[in-house]
Amino acid sequence: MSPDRRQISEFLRPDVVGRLANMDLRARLIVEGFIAGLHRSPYHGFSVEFAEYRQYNDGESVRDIDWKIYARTDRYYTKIFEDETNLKATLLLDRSASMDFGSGWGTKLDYGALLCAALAYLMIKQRDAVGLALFDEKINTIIPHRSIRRHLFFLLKELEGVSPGNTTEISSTLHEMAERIRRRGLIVLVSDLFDDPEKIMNGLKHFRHRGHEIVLFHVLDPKELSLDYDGEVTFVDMETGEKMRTQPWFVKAGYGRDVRTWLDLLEKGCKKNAIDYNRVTTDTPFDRALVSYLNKRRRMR
Amino acid sequence: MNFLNPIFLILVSGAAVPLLIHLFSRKRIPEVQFSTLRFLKASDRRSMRRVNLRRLLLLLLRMAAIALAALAFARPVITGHLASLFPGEQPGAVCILLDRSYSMGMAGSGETVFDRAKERVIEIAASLEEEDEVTLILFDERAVKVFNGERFGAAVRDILERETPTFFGTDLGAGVRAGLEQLFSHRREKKELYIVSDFQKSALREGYSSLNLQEGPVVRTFLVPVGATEEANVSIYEVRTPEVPVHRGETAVVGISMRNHSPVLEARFPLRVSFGERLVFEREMTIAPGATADTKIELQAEESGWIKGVARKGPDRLAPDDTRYFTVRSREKIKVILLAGGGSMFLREALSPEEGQSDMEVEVSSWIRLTTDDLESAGALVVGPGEKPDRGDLAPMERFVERGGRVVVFLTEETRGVAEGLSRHGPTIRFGAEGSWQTVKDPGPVPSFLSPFSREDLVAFSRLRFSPSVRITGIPPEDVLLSFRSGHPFIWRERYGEGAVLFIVADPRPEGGDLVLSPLFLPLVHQSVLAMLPGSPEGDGLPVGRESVLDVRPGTSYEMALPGGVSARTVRAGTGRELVLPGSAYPGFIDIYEEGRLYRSLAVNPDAGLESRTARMEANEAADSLGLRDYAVLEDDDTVESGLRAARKGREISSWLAAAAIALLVIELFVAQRKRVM
Repeated sequence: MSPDRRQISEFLRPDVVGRLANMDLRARLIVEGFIAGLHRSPYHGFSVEFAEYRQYNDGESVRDIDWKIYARTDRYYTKIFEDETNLKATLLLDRSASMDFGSGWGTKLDYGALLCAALAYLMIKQRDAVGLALFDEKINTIIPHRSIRRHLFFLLKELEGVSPGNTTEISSTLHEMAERIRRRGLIVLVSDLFDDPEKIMNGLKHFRHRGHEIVLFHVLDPKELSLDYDGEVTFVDMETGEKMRTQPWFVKAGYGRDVRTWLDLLEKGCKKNAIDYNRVTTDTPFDRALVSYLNKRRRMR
Repeated sequence: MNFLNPIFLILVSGAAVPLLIHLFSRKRIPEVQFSTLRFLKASDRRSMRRVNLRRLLLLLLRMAAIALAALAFARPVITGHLASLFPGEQPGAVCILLDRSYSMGMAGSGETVFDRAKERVIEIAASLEEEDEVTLILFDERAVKVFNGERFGAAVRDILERETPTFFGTDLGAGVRAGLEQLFSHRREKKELYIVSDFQKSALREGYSSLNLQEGPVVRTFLVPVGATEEANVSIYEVRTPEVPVHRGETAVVGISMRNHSPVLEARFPLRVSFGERLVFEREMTIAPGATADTKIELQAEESGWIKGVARKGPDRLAPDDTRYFTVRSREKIKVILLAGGGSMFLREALSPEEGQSDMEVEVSSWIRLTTDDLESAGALVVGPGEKPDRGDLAPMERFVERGGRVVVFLTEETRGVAEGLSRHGPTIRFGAEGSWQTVKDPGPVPSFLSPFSREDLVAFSRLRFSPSVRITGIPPEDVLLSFRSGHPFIWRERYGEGAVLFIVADPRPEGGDLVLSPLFLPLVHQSVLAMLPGSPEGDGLPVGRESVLDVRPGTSYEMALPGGVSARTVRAGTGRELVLPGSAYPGFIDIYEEGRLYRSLAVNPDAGLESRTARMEANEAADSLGLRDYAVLEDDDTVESGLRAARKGREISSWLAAAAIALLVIELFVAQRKRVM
């Protein structure tokens, strides 16, 4: 019996995945669970090239059974396909100090790293070439693109050890990366985008100008949206160390208005530049992020 | 402001708690790491000033709420003008006592004290709530309820318009008791008693020194004094008429007593006396401050029967005590039966000195001839020496006395049996030897019984010798009118039944000593009989309102006319001998007619001793004497709008404070959205 999709989604909740110690295990749980869940989804397969046969298991769709093999061997086999390996995907993970904020199971950086790990796992599994760049005010780490399975190990190890850095300077980073990545491909940006929206859009436009497709995962903590704090609080800016005492309940309305304006600005900018904008909070299940990626990937085929 | 539970004022310090929490929490504001302050800064710049203001407002609201709640527990009571700012309390029971005694008729500057008192009642009515159930009681010596119900303010003028002061004195205790009983019977919690009076000192009667109110519910009492403390006033407080009837044509000496009640002002006024509807006396009188004056007037009794007199002084500020009514009885001939043997000549001469002109009709009889019919028609019986009655003769005589007959016994050895039989004291009578003399003790001032005699007459009397000496024991001293020097009684009087017996220890014959031949004998005998006659007038009569009982003939119809033309009614005396006279509400004369003929006339006067002095006591003194607990005095110069409210003992405002505290808390919740604000 194949597991129920709803049950699998439960396993893809960040707080569940976050309990696993090993990044490899985490990425596998996300991706394998996600794929298993897809069996009942419109996505019948994610490869175009045949890869191998596999013995039919109870619960799998009978439409994948190769009846010719059945005629020959009197056994049920299903065909497994593989995609072409012609995509160069770059994961850009913001590790600025603001990404270290988290009110739930983990920080935005934890969520972003897990998301990158899952995407890398999925991409490698599809034979896509995956590269990774970690940045704060500048690019800290770059892992070049590879599609081999061993490359996944490096990627996951890097993501596992990621730690928060300094202030964010996304726009300059994006310009720098756009200059570095020559071949057209997929740019996956995972960031809280705490920078000037105009500058961010300029950086993203630079990628578009180079012919890249962009999937943007805007990672936020639920509390950053709700400002759900009791009583009087002194807020300390995680990037600058600046302090401010206020009554969150009282400034909440104005804060929410400003944040929505900012988000609208980003979303409209992305839409205008054909960038897939995905706003996720640290309690958003990973499958939603992966579906978003797969949609993009299908359109690029 | 007073507090009923002042201990709870300690809780007011609790108002500092929000301040302490505020100060304490300021040091413990948590620091929270946050991703960016870029959006917060923009919002905060706009809002923090209002936050701070609101924070201060919240702090003040909380402190005020706690302070108000603590004050509410302390049950504050506000007094004075501030109390009037608070709306009326629950409808209550109100009793207004309005003094209408005759001292309230004191006039001054165009209006009487009673007029002023009525104004005060109207002002009080205006200050009450429409829903208050009001009882208006008018009181003097009695309390009369004249209104009971709601909406008193609308009716008060009509009710008071027809009310005037009475001629009665004041019994403040009775009035207050009636008011309190009315309030105690009421279920409403708020109870108020208003006493509008001139608070005469005489208003505190005996027996009402305290109303013993400790057990009853709390009644808020307002004393509303009216009238000046001391008023200049002269009263005719007594008219003394002769105790015995005067004969037609004789002069009756009438004493008139007046008192100037003012301690500072000399009183000058004309005194006029009319007698038998003729003005017979008029003189300008002067009485020093605080002094009394007695005037004796000789009035000629020109007719027989009851002659009405009126003494009037020039009017002053209190009219009722300026006039005094009195009656003088001018007697008709009375039938006197003389029972005497050999000595009857002297007695008969004494009783009827000039035949035909005497006011006594003397019939000489003897014990053997005397019948009960004789006794029925007789007014008096005189027993002298010379004959000895049989044992059985005394019983009709006793009945004669019990039914109102009068007997004069000249006690000698012959009449000793009569004396022993008629005296109820069982005296021991011993006669000395013939020729043993004794004399009468000078009694000092002239006793009323011997009022026609002068001092000189009495001195002369004490020189007379009486023989033989008689020793009588067993007579109570109060019955003895004159004594011998030996201390034994000379004249004594015993009353029993309706009548009386007068014993004179003297022999009315020459052998009895100097008396018969002295000029004192005739008036003594005459006076002895006349003073014993029934129906001695009451002088200036009855007090206003007082019931009395009159001796009358059984089975006869009587008609009465009361003063002021109030009522005239026929009363049948029935088988009894007593006729009950109702109390008259007005001064004047009560005329009693027996079968169309004036039988008796009685004067009715206000009790000037009670009200005329017009000495007001302090209202506090009255309240304390009556044992009133929760009272306030509203002086006459206060206006009701402010003064009466100010005089209220105060209003408890704890419920208002509690409501205010709750209101503040609600506002606080609304402003603070408490969940989000420490």
